[in-house]
Amino acid sequence: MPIKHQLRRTISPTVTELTRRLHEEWNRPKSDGQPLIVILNKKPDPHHIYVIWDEWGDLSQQQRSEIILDVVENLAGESRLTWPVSVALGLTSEEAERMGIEPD
Amino acid sequence: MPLRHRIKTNPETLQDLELASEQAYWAGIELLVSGYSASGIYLLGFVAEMLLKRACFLIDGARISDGIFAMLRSTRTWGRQHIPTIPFENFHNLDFWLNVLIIKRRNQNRPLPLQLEVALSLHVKNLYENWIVDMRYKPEWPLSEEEQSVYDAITWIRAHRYEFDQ
Repeated sequence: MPIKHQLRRTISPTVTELTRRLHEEWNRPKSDGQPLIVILNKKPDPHHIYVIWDEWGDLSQQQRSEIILDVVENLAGESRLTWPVSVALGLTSEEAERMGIEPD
Repeated sequence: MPLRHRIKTNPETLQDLELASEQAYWAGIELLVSGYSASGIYLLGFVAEMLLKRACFLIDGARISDGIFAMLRSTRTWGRQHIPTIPFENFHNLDFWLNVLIIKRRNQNRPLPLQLEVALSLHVKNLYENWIVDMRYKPEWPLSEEEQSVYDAITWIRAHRYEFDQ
């Protein structure tokens, strides 16, 4: 059996699609509905970001966070975050309610 | 999904350490002010452990969404090579994590500012003297000065937590 020294990372279509849609929402936010992006500005502490979205579905917490971070790191222009982020959590509305996270 | 299953299907990440340390800090303070000193100290020790680990992994270039399991194992290996005289205590030795943070930062040519390093070392030493994970199966009745020392140390560490990985 051949031995290889490189991996090709396969990104699922769900991850790609959710990443694209979250990026779009971040740049052109709708007036209501989901995904709901909550940025807790805690300066001088790093930001906490919560994205409430029922379409997270079966994705693990880690996958959701990676999507959010991928989007944040690729923001440009006025949308770009210039402050560090120490929490990036993707939550369904049920999970957000359990955690007591409700935007004003 | 039952809590146990939620925990098992979502391995701990770096950002979990931050959120869990906040929960444990406030729960620990509540226990202290309610007179449950040993339980409060037990929780507050974990706060320091989580914040030190978080800083150690971040300075290694980890992302906040990264799982910590592999990083714990690699740090244990690193410790055996670089600080073999400091016991690992199954991931729970505060002195071990303090030394990992200080030495790794120095090795990366970005040591902690001296004043910060001295103060952090002092507070972690105070916690080390007044906390050990073995408290979990031991009934204890801490002295009020021990309780105060733990409170002072962990409150300082929490207040400065974001400076350790900058």
